[in-house]
Amino acid sequence: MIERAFEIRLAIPDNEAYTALATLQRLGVGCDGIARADIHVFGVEDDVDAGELEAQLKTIATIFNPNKHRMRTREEPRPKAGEVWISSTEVPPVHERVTIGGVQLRGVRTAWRATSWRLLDGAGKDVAQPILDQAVETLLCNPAFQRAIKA
Amino acid sequence: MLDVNEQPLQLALSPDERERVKRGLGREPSIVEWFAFDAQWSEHCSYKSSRPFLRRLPTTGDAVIIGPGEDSGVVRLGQHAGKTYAVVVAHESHNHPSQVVPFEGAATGIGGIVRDVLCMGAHLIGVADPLRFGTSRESRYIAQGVVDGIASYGNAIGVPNVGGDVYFDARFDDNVLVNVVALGIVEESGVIHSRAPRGSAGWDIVLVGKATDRSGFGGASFSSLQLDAADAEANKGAVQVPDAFLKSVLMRASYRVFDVLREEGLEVAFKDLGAGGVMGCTAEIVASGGLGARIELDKVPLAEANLPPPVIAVGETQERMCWVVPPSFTPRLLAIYNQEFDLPGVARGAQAARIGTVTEEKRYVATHHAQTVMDVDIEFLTGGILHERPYELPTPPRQGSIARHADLKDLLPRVLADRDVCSRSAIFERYDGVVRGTTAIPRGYADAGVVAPVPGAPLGVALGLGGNPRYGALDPNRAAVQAVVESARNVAAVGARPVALTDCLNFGDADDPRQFGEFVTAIDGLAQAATALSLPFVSGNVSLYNTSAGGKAVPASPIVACIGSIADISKIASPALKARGSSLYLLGARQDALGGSVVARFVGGEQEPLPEIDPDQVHSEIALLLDAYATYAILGAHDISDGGLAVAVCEMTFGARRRGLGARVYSCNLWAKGIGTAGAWFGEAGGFVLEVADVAAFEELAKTHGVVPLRIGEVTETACVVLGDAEFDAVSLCEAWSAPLRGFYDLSEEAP
Amino acid sequence: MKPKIVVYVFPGTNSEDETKRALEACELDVALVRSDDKTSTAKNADGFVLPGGFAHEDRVRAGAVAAHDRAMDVVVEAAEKGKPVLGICNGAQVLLESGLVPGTSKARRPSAAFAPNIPGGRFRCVHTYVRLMIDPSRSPLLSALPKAAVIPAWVAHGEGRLAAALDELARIERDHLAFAYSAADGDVNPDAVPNGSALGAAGLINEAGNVLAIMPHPERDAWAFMHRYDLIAARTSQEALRPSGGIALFQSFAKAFA
Repeated sequence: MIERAFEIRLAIPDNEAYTALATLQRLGVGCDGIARADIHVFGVEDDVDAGELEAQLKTIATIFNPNKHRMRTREEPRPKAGEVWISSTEVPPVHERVTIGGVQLRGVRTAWRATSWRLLDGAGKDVAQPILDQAVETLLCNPAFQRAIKA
Repeated sequence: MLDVNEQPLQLALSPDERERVKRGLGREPSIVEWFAFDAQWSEHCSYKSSRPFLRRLPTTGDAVIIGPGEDSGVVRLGQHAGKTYAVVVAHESHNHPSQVVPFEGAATGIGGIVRDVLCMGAHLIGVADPLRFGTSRESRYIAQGVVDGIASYGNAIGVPNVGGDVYFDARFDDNVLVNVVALGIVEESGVIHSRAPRGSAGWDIVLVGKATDRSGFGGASFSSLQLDAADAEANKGAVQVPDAFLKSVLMRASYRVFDVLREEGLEVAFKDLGAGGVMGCTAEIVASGGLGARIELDKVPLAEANLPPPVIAVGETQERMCWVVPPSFTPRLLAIYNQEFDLPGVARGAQAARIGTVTEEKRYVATHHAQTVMDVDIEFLTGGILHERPYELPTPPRQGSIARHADLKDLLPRVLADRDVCSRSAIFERYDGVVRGTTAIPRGYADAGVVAPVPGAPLGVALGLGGNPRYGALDPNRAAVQAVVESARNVAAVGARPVALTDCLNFGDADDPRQFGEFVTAIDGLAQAATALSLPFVSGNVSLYNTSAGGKAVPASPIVACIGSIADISKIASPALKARGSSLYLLGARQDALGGSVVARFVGGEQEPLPEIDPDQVHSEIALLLDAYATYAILGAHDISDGGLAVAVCEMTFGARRRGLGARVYSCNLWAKGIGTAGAWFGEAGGFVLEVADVAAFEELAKTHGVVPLRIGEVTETACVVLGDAEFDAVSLCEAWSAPLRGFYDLSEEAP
Repeated sequence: MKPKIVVYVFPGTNSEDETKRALEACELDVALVRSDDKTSTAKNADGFVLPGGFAHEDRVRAGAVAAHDRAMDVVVEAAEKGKPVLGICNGAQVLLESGLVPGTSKARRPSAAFAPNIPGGRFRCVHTYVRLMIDPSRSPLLSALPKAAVIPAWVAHGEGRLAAALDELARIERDHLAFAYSAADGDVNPDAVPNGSALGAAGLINEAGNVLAIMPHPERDAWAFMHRYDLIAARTSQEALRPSGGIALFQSFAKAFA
């Protein structure tokens, strides 16, 4: 079994990201831009094709609305440099077959979600890791029930 | 005609209607004009098929301050501390959008109905959701999405859900029904109308709320079309995007404007943007005042640059409302929304902005920068068109019924577990029923929800519903009578006086004479019952075309809400049994007719006639009930509906579990002589089960109302339900009733 | 002169009116103040209450953004001076996110959370009771309550489950567990817990005892007419309109200023 990750981001203005940025700036975290996305990570049997799974996910109304969202398959089921994933500390159970919004996902045994955050400087580049860490500690992650997965 | 992308225009207007537009204008319409008429002349906006029939409904009464015609109805409630208060009520459907994108469709349904009440100058005090779901696996996911959507919106804006119901039927598989009701409270002197006041030519038209975007383009026409799966993507784009967070700020900002208007003593107009967007709202707000408008589309705040004029004019972006105010007030109005409540800070682009002027000349003119993109006679635009639809009235079963037998021991648990009887708490627990701290009876505790909306005042408002799809499928006319009578009974059962009605009429194709005939006969049923009960309809909505492409229409679904007034909040009660030793009484004779009943699913008779209804008798029963509450002769009452008397008694026991009370009902030979046991115990002939404290006083009172109450049993102190010879453990009955929908959110379970 | 209470209203707060009414019924002078209030008068208040709702739409996390609002600077300073602070539902979440409750961690960092309900993180609205788990003398806000007091309230939230690291939970259980979900007779058992909350926790208190974070809403069961439907208790409208039931928490809160 391997893990496959899919990223869903908003194509319309992201108010949540906007508010997070304003709050971080008020807390003195050095950033000028922000990017947020929902990450879905699935534990899948080896013979599951990522393209087919992505197409299937796009039919699930509870997670994807073509008028609001854009989806892409991630190369790796982990954050890239400059990115952090915040998810629950709960261990996802293993199912016979994961079902989301009525759609049964063939060959998918586990599912967990995370929020992906990136902070950008004035030039649109990822901020240095210590700044991202500061954001995680001051706002983005509550260690009482969340964990921060770093690149 | 081609649209902005050089594609043939997708309009819902028929070729004949298009000709009428051209002839009326005397020229080829502009693109914006095409979309404007497409929206304005849609069934949803114009009621072109239904208007002549809606005139048959009674709409006037002493307590009616505003009847149908504005955003909501307004009904006088009572006085307190020198002020006269009124209840504001609106009732609508959001069926097609909820079928396509359940969460957003249902959420925006709540959003829209809340605005209808807000725009009368009222504070929101409650919402209700009568829902009709299918039974397929797919429809379970639609149901979950709908409930989640309603919950997410209502909970966020902080308006309690005080009522609603859920029915399941395979005929809703492809056409879910999501009806919503909103209630508000207003001082009579603070009512704001939806029409431009006399002498308001030259006044400003101010748009408030979300920045206009591309969402919801095609909505009014969309709701008037049949749903076809192949159009799924296009359909999705037409579904609007809700923003409850913005709405909660908009509500509070608007409440502040109401306060200021009251201080200044200003009469203005306020109207919700719904079908037809900017055009639909601004045209109607001035036309109903006998005036015209000049709208500058480039002044409409946009979420994206370069939005084409047709989208700006008729797109149905949510969370927008429109004021008509004197220019001297405009700066103050803008300051409240934009600075004091900081709309731009809450949502990008959200703001209040002046977009036009009221004109003496009765034309509707829209410009976009220097160009005039629309210029039409306003009465031609908004006067609406009428369609003479041929119809065939249905022939309902009206022959006699046979007496059937029911084995209580076997059937009671099964009837309690039936999908139309079992507990719905798994659904309505998703809704905040007590936010605002005014709820006197929350949903799930009685036949109607009750709020005491004026702090410190003993005034109360009750909301009851009626409308059963099993009855509608069988006999639309009698089902409509039943819907009115049921909603009024539900209100009276808690001790509230029925004062007004609203309706949402959900039917199939207006183009199909038989389906349209169901609509026509239902209207007659509503009119008959409402007149007999002296209850006016003050608001309502018609939703036609609830048919899938295969021609499968929903069961005739006239859904009625009844508003009840309470002068003294200490005189209301739930049906839960209260006291050992009280007597149980029945109002409403039992009948053998099992048509449309739940028990008929088990013993046969489903296609028999519906029980007979005598609205005059219902009128007397209700009057008796209210008197009995006022004099404390009764401790509680439960309306008899799905599952009949046996279910009503069980539910009264379930509510009393904590007090360890039970019920014993005598053999039905004593109170339903000559009626088969199925009709006696489970028949759904309307009526009440009462818990009577003072038997002598109650029977005396009943005489004065010309009602013959039947004593059927008593309240016991063991957790048992004894019905005739059959004895049941109350706990296991409660479990049978509670279990079936507990798994509503369990994705691996089939719908019940 | 009545004690002056500030009830902060964040964008998205929805319970401010009924919270104000409950406090006023206890002879407190209440002002509703916007969370971005720039005047300095709020900080002179004698006590603070954070009501329920969805402050900032629960963006990032329930209470997370509000915890850093200007209003919380005022509240944190007031709490450090020992002024009484009460947070209800979303208000309780803000107090935990701001680190004021249980108050065992670094300044302005949370050590616990009211996290998504189990199962499914779904919003639930059900009537409940909360039982006082600490000695009333432990807190000036609670000292007017009898030992093991049982107070009626309404649960109406999707994120009410106490979550924390194991050692923190042990600390909370020992020193900060003010209220637990219970049956009407005060029996604290798992069946009474509507949201999977660790320790059956419904409310937490800080070390000094002046800051209380409670998830259920006592103000929504604080008037006689709200229990009217269940028992014929009131016989007149005056009786029906009197404060009762959940008002006990606010009466105790008001005594903190005596």
